[in-house]
Amino acid sequence: MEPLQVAKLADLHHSLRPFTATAFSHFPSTSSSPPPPPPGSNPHRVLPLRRFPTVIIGILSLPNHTAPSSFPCSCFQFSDDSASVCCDLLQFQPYALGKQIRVTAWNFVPFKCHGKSRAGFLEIIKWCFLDPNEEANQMDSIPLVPNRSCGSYGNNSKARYRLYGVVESVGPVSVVPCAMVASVSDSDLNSSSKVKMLGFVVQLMRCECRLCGSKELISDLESGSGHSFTKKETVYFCGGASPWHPAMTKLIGNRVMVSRLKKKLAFITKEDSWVMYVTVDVSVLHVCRVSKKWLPCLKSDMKMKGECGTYTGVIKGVYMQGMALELDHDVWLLLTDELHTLMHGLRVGAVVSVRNVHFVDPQFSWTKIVILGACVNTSIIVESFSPLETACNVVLKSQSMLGQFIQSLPFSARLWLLLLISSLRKMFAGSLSDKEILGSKHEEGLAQMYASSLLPPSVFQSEHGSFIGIRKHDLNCCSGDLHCNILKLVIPASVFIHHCIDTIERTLKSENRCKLLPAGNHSRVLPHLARYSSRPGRKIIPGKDVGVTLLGHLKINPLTTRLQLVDATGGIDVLIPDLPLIWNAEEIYEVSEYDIFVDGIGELGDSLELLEIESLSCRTIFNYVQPARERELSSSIFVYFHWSNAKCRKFPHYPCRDKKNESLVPKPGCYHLLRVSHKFPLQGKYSNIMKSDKSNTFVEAKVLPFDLLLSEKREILHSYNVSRDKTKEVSDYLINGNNEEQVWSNKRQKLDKESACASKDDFFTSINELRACSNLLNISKENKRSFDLSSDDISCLANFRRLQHENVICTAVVRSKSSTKSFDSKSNARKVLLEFSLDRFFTYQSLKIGDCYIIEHCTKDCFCNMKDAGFGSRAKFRVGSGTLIFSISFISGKDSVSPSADGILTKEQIEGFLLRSNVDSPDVSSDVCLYLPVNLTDLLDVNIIESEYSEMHKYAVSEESANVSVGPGIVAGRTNLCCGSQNSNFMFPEGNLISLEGDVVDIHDIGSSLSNACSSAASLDSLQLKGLIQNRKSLCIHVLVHKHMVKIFGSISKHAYPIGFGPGVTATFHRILDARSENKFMLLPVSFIVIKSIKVHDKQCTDWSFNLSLLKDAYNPSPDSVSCLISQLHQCSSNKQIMLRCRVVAVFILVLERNTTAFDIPLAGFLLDDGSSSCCCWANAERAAALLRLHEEPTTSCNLGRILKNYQKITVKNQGLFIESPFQDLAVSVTSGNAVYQYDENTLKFMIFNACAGRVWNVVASLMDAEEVRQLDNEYLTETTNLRSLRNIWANEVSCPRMLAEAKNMLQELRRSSCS
Amino acid sequence: MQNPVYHSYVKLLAFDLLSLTQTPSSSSVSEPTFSRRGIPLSRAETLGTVTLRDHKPHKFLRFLIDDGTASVPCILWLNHMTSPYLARRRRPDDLRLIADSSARFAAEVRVGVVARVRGRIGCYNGKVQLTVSDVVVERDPNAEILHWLDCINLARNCYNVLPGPGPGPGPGPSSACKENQAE
Repeated sequence: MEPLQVAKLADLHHSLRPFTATAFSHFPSTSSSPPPPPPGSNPHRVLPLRRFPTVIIGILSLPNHTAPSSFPCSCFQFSDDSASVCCDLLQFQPYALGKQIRVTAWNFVPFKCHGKSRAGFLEIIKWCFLDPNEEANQMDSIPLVPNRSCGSYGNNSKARYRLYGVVESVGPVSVVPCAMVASVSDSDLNSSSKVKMLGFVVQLMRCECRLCGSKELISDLESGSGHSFTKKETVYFCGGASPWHPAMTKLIGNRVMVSRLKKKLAFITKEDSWVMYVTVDVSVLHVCRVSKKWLPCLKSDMKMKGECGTYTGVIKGVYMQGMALELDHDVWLLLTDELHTLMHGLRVGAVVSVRNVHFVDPQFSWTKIVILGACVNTSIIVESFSPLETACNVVLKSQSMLGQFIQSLPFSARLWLLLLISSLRKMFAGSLSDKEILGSKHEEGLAQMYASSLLPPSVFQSEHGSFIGIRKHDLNCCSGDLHCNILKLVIPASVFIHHCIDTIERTLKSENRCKLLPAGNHSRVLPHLARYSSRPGRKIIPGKDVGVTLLGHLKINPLTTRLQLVDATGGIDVLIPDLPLIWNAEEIYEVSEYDIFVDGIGELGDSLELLEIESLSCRTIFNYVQPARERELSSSIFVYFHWSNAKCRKFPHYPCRDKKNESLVPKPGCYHLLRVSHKFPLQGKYSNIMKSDKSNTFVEAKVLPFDLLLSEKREILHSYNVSRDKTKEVSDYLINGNNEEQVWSNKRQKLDKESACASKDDFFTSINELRACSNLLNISKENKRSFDLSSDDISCLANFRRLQHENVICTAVVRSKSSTKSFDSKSNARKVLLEFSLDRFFTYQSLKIGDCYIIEHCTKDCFCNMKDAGFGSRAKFRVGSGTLIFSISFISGKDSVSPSADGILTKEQIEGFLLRSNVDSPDVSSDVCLYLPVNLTDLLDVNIIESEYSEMHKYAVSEESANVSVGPGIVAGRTNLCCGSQNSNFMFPEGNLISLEGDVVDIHDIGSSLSNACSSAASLDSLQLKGLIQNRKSLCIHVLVHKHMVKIFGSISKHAYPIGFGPGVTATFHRILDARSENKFMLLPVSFIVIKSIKVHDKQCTDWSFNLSLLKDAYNPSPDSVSCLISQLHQCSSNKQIMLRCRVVAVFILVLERNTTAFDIPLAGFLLDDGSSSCCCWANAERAAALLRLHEEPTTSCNLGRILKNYQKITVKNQGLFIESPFQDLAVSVTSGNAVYQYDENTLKFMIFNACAGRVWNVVASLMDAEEVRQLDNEYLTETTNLRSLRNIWANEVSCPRMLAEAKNMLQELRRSSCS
Repeated sequence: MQNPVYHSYVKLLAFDLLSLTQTPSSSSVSEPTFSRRGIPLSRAETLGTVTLRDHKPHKFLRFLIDDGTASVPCILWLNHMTSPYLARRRRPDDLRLIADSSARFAAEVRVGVVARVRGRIGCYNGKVQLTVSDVVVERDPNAEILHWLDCINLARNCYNVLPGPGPGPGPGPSSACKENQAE
């Protein structure tokens, strides 16, 4: 047996690792380092056991608040003759204070703290008095201030009050400035002689019975039972009694008596006073030895709306410097500043009991958790020390603005903010310092700026000192918490990707569909990164279901050439169909409305076990560490949103702010007008191009026969407050010229004086250059102002819209380049090839076929010198880093307004344009908006169309034949592919290159059987002979164009394969070959695919929606039905089926039920109207779905399926006394007893409103008898007056009327009746 | 009991709709009533080509529906989110839904399309006008012919055969009435 050792505290300080020790040696002695835990289990190790049985002997004492060097904590102190440490102990007895105790089982956790190089925390598990007699000699009463004789009152004669009750809560130790009674009179509150008093508030629950009030109480204290502790009293432990804080905390729930107290009226504010008892030096504490603690009865109906309660649980994690603790599973304890800075013992693994804490359900959309919000009344008691080797929580009280900001928020917003801070630090690691994210004492950081921009001002709570805080808490309890639906989570990109995969997997598992997924032979056709998927391989997660806001930079991934939203942890592929030309790669963009597409889920199904992170939880976000190797799966996920949903976030700290602002607005000068006619797909890997330094990115454009001259005179309009007056001022200013510069009081010049002058000169220099090199312009006009008036120029206004929140407006001139110098002549646009340098790859990606752009005129690469030399020797123009390109759109004036003879716009016109640009076309996404008189716009249109149609003509699919024939719909270029003569010998396929837009329905692999699939077999064979099409697998894309299916064959290079391409997208296929066979086209190496939009509903929706064929084939309703008017129903016999042609006016009842696949409509009641009268039509299942227009709106069915996952059965009733569309008074109720989310309710109402604005239906129905009607009425009808008198019918069939056939029938009917 | 067509959306050809008899209301607050051959009517449906469009964003869209016999002036209110009258009576979420659907209707009403419009019969400057409840754009040109025939059929078999009000108010003088507000 090992000898028992007595350890010295000073020696313990030398240990570097925590350990545990006992006085007993019956444990087999283990090595000091236990084996590492198995991977995947709890990462913490068990505390190593000290080799020898060891005890410590020392004195337990209260913290010393008076010593200036003392550590700012409120822990018990344990000291022997060598040193003293902070400690905590189990089985606390107040009589042990100041006594020598023998600690027989304990943990010691060393920590480093500011000021002290070494410190430690002693956790006393088992102890006893060193002198066994002490146990028996326990005093009845303990003086609160030691070394004070209990008998001597001294001058404290007023201290005659005593309180007996149960300790309910203990407030934090704080310093309160107070005017002391001893020094000043009670009335002299405003006196300057204030003393800073250290103390804390204890609230006792007192019994009001006579016994408790009598003086004989003390002798009877121990046996007292049957008391009812209901009256709250406040005792302020101050001065010498202030070190009692840890002891009083331990006594929460115990009966105590505090005697020799003074009673005071404390003035909290000038208006508010508080009667309380105050301890003095002679006050005495008496603790009952009744072991049973008195606990307030727990409320069973906890609504999680901020009610106070007690919670006991195991600490599973300590995050954000101890501000957030996870207890058990998904219970989050948020601590106040006082609690997390003053308590050392909150280690992972400890069992803690939290008293007087607020229970809050934050209702985050992305996770279900409970928040325990600590307030001034909250106390934490460690019930069992952690057996794990985890660190102590040692932090100093935060002085930063962020700390105060956090404390001023309601609990749910506070947790959200902590998660945000944690995420931002990971997302901007490397680019922003901690100080820039967190801020400092005097400066807001990124986190605070971002959070305050999202939080409504009403959520901020004014911060009080603890004293006032307790008072306020007493008066109005803690107010309800913020409803956190508005707070969207911000998480690092890599967490987001993992979460998406996890969500999909969960869905797959729940659907048990993993095995049913296709083997995915497509992935062999295309390399992994460019994989597309057929319908079952794609899943769509609506962004609103995720509840996450994406934040990051937009960048192009050099490996995949795809646009990504990136942060320091990774990047998410994004698809923005309307990506503008100018966006700043340095800016931070925020996207909150988007949808997530996961492609290739077949492969996901195979790798389900690979995933470690379970879901999106607070723990995952706090704990997330960047994995060493990013999983390849991320590339099959992309996020789809429109540019209007990407908000550019400006943060003053961010280093790259406004860096490119200058390039957002075109400089004054001359610009050429271009229209992009084609983009050539990228040839070869982007990374290879980077290496080779040879750009392979080409765009074909047409130079329009106009130039745009932008003047240096510009003004800034803030788009938020564009009023008619302001616009008028701007237009006055712009028209009248520089001499009225002072007109606008708050205007500011975009360019400073000097640069304005310089640019002015540049402007005219460039105009002269242009004139010189083009020889097309009239040089005679030297007067700088007079060119505005020349007949070949047309003045207009340009609006630069790319800047956030403001519009820059300047005057501009459109100048014809035609040789006749007039706008009437039709000059041909010239074709040029733009070659993009590597650093302009962004621009290449953003250019859109068919859009107009302006490109800066410069002398070196002058467009004016270029000759259009046809297909072979097209003029090439290199777009380098210095070339500015802006997208341009044209807005014309009112039809009735025409410009004056000199081509200048009137003031009214300009005013009109400015207003229109802000009101009518807020969604114009071009960088520059040009306001033109209508005739010029027409001319531009004509020119654009002329240039287009000089080469192209229109194609379309007619209703009659399935062949693709001439008509609107498909635009085809007449460019022949064949290089030889027209009489070629079928060595190459011949045909026109066309552009085609349609919905991609399916894509499948046609293997090597391309030749079989294409009718022009001879041509294809020859292609194969020539080696142009290698004998490899190719694709067949089924595209729905104007209700007709066409097939596009060919293989797409993986570099040309657009992200997100697959079934469900609407895409334009540019320059595909019309293979001169029925509805078949070929993809060529020059073909370019542009995704216009993606349908955001996946396969599941079609599962949920009802059988569509029912409607399509139901043009011929049952022949045995009789067509009639509703007003004629009373003449019909009840056994016949009647047919009504009518519309839905209202839905007065709707019952929806969840079933195995999705949902069912057991009953719905519609008010139908055909012009003659109205009737009540009852329907169920498909008939009801048709009348609700669910077939037309797949997203609605999709949403219904989602809603019904939460509620078993939903009933929507029209509660109004009178039904009138659209003002229906709808009430939604559910059987599950839950409240209906507002969002769900709105979805249901939207569906009903939609049904009431639908088409004409043919409803075949049978009349209902009185008994049937009575049953339904009793169950479902409300007191709606205009339904009672109506006829009731039951719908048997619902179909769409065939207008022509019906009209013919009716005409015959009318003729017959007029003849008879 | 009210006559069966009073709450129905009657299908009348434009010339017929525009020549409804207006009876000034008894009180200054309520609107005038409309009748055809003595039968009171409150709502109507018309179908035709949109020939004029006057859009005041966030206020209203005024348009004309030409069905070949005349043009019916229609007004679609777009002021749901700003009307204090409605704000007092409707929940904000409901108003948002109604405003959204009105905005959708407004977007669909373009000059040249064939639209089916339902609404309440009202008057503006003494002339009949429809306050629009909903708009459906018809893609099938035959819908127009069918509507004409429907109007004839309904007039013959329903509106003309309804029992009149007896010695009720005869055709009174048209009254100048105030512009309606969106309810």
